[in-house]
Amino acid sequence: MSDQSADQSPERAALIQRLDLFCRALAERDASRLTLAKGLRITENGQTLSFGEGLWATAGGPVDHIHDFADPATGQAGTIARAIENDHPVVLSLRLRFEGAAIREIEMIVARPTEMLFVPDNVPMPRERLLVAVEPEKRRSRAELVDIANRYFEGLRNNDGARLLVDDHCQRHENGLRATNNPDRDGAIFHMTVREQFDTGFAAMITNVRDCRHLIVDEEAQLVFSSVIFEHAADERFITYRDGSVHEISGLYAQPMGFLIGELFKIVDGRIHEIEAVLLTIPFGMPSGWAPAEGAAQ
Amino acid sequence: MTGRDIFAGDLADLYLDALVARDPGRLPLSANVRFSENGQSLPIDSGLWRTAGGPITYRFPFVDSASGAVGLFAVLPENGQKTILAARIALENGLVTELETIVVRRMGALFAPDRLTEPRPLFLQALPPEERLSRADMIRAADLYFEGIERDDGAIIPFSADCHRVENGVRVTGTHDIDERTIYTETLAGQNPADQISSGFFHYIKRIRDRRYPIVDRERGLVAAIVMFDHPADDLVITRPDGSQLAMPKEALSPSSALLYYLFKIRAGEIAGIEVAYIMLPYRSRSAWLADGEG
Repeated sequence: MSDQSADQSPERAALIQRLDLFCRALAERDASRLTLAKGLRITENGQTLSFGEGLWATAGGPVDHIHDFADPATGQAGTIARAIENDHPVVLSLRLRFEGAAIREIEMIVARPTEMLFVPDNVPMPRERLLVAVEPEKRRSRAELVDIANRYFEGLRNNDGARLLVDDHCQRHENGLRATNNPDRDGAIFHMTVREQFDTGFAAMITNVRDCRHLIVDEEAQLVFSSVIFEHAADERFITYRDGSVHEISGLYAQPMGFLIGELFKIVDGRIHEIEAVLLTIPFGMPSGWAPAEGAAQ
Repeated sequence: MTGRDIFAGDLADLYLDALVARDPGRLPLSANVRFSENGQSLPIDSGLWRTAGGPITYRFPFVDSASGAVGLFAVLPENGQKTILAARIALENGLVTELETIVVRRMGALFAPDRLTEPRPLFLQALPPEERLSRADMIRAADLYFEGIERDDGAIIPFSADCHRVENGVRVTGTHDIDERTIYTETLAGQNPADQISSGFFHYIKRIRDRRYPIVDRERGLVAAIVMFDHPADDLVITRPDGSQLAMPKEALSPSSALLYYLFKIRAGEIAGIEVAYIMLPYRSRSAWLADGEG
């Protein structure tokens, strides 16, 4: 099985190299090697920061990134990685937009130890199905890639998987935890495939899918990186699955809250082949920190 | 009942009744009413308005006699799980123009809604006229509390000897009776508020911003403050003025901010009691109540 980075274009390689430079600078908290554009915009967990705040003030140790993506058409690159903050691991979703050689936008989601499903050490483990190369003749267009990613969120928004295009062997990792086909995790939903999860009708508990932005389309690697907010109004105590079974909404989901999400889709043969996501629990109604079209890939 | 007929003190009851009925329409709302929950601007009929239930097991209203603004601490169930509610209601011409709420939901750290049953008598007592301060002096005393935290210096804060602080229902000063999983070590909890602050333990609270003092009750000596704490987590260990080292608590090793609703009792110029309800937010979260460009 060949790696997606083996035959990449020089343009993509250059962006991945800049991404790596950023990760190394972050690891050492040494921004002197970076060129920051005037008007640099940086958010961490939906909040606008000044450069040097947040993870830039606490990082120390390697930023282990293997699931990288880049989009020469829009000058963007990103990754889902494990970073070290104050001697403990965190999960990082990162998007960079370059203006020439200078960094113009930094968008980060940092999932920290109190976050749910938190298994940071799984994040830098190579996932072959995410990294697999897609031969040029089998690649789908930008529009098609975005459409396939968008169907995933539309399916959750409408609680209807009919238009979902997903491979039966697709695994979804969330903050490092395998959230599909995982018999070791309590809860029937974790034991299912992505398709089976959709088919239960569980998404009725997600009362709103908003601020969906398809940010980076990596045409060479056939990856789409999107950001989205799922909201749980918690205004129903029970939801009914398609099979008629009734499920009480409990724990965190019995409170109005949301998730700010960075989600990476690998697309092969017109279907979602693999998913890697970073989730952050947020207060109900929190803005994403970006206007709906900002940073978008199209 | 029209808005103009409502005494400010009754507004808290009306609000709580409306909340339990999940019907904001029972309040005399201004057409332009602004609502926030946990620092986020929301439509008035969302958040706790869709999840609240009864019974209300704790209610403690207070009123700013000058502005008519009403403050409130309460405990009520949300989908069967108790929550602590801290609210602020602003009125104009008898209509509710602003409703700001902090809803403390079950969380890992300090959270004991069952311990909140009756307001502390101290907070209900009217002050003799000679012990009342001007509005500005009351706010100054409360603000010194935040200055003291920022400077790790409890000595600049005018505490009474018997002052203690209750956070989300848990008494956290002058007691060892803290069974919740908490950042308060047994040693720290045994100390009075000034010594806790001077110990350097709260050094991780680097900035206390967006300080607002929306409700002042001179008669009872109460000042409500709504503020944001910033915890940049950029120190693992600090060196105290005496040269000793102090490790920051593990909860302070991740950047975060906190939105806090304080109520200070100020008696004879001293802070005699503190009640706090607070929630954690992403680092550098902005208050929903600042104008664009502030904060």
